[in-house]
Amino acid sequence: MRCLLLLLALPLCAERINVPLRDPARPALVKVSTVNGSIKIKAHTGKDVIVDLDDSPPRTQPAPNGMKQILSGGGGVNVEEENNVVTIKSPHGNNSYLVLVPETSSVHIRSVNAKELRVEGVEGEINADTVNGSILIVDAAGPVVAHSLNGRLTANMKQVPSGKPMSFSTMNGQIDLTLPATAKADLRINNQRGETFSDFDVQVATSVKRTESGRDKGPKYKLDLEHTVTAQINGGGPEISMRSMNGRIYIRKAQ
Amino acid sequence: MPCSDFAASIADTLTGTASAPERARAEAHLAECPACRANAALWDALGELPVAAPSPALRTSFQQRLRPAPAQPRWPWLAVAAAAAIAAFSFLAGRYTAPSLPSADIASLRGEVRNLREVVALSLLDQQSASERLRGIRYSTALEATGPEVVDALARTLSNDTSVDVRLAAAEALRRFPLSPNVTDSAWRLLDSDDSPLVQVAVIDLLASRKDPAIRARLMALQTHRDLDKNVRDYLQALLSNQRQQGNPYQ
Repeated sequence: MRCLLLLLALPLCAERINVPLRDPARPALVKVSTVNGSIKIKAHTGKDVIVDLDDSPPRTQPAPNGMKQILSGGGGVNVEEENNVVTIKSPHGNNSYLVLVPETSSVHIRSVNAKELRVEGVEGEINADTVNGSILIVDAAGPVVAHSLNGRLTANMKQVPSGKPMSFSTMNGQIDLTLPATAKADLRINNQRGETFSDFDVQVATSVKRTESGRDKGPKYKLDLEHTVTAQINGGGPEISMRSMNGRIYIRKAQ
Repeated sequence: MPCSDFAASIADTLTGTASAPERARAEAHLAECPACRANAALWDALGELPVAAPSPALRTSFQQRLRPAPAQPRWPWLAVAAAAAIAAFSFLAGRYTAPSLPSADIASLRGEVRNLREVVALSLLDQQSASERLRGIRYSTALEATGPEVVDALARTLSNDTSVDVRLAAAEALRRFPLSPNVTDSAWRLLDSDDSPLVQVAVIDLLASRKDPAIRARLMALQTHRDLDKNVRDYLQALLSNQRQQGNPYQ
């Protein structure tokens, strides 16, 4: 049975929308998208998804004396719930959100110019994508797939989920990944112009590809050093792919 | 009386149960047919053989067979050992005498296993979870050989997946497989349509890995494309320059 809840919130300041899930016993999937606003998602112990518009765009001018702001100018927000999938969209793409989600939720967040996409304490899968903003992921326990074209990617994992590949990619930003000291992982690192650092005991398996030319004259074979270097920490485990063209990559051991 | 009629009535004639007219006709036939006479003589001789009487020991042996078997065998381990030896002998005899599985059957079984793996990879590529789709891509690259369905699915993922990371992984995976002209064409189109310069770089890597002079010429021309992202142009120029310096043996 399908359950659809559609709420069109008025563009008021300090708007809070409480979204009950169709089946609170099952993990939710929360999708949030905006163009210019920032997105902050925090896990909480409640069963509902709570959308808070307190993070509204900053006022360009302070309120005159004796007056308070009553419209944010964010353009409103659409919130839909269908079978535990909560979709939060801004028609004009200018809203910033604070979204409280049950701990077991998975989140998909997407923005173009967000200053920051931030996810804290979520145990499900995190999928974050932005063009110009940074991504900060704190205390994640599920697989993370994150991309920022120009921004920095920072992720602090409580654990590396078994059997779940993860991936981080950026063109011009840096990747800063912190893993538990005992985390087992296979690393795929593609860092063409940047540098990669780690305090783990990383076992690097350099991939050199030999190709026979089949000619009598000239080069007999060619050796290609693959762009992608594979490596292991703590004996290997699920795959973590990291790709940065121009930025540094840090793989840190949690203290 | 023909011979066939005599053969049918010979039993009654020899035992004396035939009617008088039948016996008369049989005796007339025997008088004039030496073959049937010899046959009748044989049956008479067989009838004269003595019947063996059962010996007194036969009854004793029969009664012994009717007794119940002893509850415990005298050497139970011997029975177990004998059974094990028979089983081992049977297994080894079967192992070394059975005809080997035809290579066509083995190839068929391998094909079925490969198809099963392909089905798993295709199924994972359709998942909502980006991590699961990444798993499907890695699963497909673990296939020793694959059919066009997996390559087409990877090409669709490269063109349409909403996650940049998944598209990057698909481009990297496709480098392992031969590409059809359609897949190659869709890769070229991505250089115009994909909004991620990182994916465009991965597509250039995919195309350059073909070692095809025609593709190289097209990549050379792409350098001057005015809409090309600066990072992508820099990467492409460095790639082509590097190939020139290395003296690419495939040109």
